[in-house]
Amino acid sequence: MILVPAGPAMIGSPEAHLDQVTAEQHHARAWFEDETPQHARQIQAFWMDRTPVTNAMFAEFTEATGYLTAAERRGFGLVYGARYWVRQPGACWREPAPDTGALPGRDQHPVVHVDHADAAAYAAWAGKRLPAEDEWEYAAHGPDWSPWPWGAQWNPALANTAEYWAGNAIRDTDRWRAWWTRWFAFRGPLPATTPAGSHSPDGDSPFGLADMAGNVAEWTASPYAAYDPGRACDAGFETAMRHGYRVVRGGSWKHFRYQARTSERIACLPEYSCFDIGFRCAADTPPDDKD
Amino acid sequence: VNEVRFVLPGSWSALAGSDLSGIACTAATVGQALTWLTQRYPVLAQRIFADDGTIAPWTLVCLGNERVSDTGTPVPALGGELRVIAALMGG
Repeated sequence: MILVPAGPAMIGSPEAHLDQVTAEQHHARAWFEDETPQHARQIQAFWMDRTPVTNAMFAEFTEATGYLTAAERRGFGLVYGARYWVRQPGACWREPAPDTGALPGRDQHPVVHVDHADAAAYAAWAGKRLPAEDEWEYAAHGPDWSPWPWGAQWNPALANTAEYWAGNAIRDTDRWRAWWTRWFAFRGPLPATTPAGSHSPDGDSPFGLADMAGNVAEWTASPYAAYDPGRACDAGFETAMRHGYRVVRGGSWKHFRYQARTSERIACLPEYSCFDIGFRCAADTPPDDKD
Repeated sequence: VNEVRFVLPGSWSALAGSDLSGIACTAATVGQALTWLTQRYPVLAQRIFADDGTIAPWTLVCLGNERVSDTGTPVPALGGELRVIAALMGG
């Protein structure tokens, strides 16, 4: 784990940045309104895993406890199919695709197919906790806001996102779908995660944390709520706030660059798990192991 | 038969090619209301229903403040607000 020092941080996105994002891609500005207003927070010092929790780390937990994830109990995982989400029978963290086990071979890849309770159970077993979303964001960009962990300029080589695999810019659904159609035909439901920390050090955050953009989107402890309850927001986000959604951060290997921004907020039902959401842990006291 | 008023993500209007704010139908059950919605806007069908016709696990459907998982759930006599969103939203 890495010590993230106490400090002031600007949380959320500047208005000018969202104007730029709106101009560059297909979603309307309202889609990003939940990132505003940008506001100052004082963050206390905490420790954070340098990388997302890996399959090898999660295996230690399940071997020690006999824990079964929600996906294992229900007998299917959720993957994005040729056209939309589908149930994939048998898909879970141990076997993310038919006949493809997470262990051995993908030991150092981030664990996926874990819901919020699965992530929290691991964290408790490890003597840690899930990070709050402001801690997560501070850890991603440091005291000074920047849209990506390494700085202001997007670079597809520094994060595992759709653009990393596509080899070209993806700024709208049509281009994403063109990439995805080719990708899914070739790859199927196997997550395109990369070994944790593969984009270090150039893709790291100012504190040295890896994979804070892309690879897997990450659960936080925080309920999804408006930064300013007085601001109007999309009806969908209002519904998510009413119904216990949690905040997921960082974007994943199948996401656009915009979803991998440090201040991007994704709202997710806590019992949802799929092939591109994982997590990392935080802690308030120095950990015994410094992995 | 009772009025169902839909509350949907703004991004679904772009998908459907039509302003979905304020749309409503009459239905006796949640399933009837959702079927009306997806027949009118077929692009929404895969966002709401799984292949077996159940409410998909990647979707949240709420009647008033209550989460609904059974399409046979009756709509109250006075009608109701049906909120439908993805289980994962953002970006």
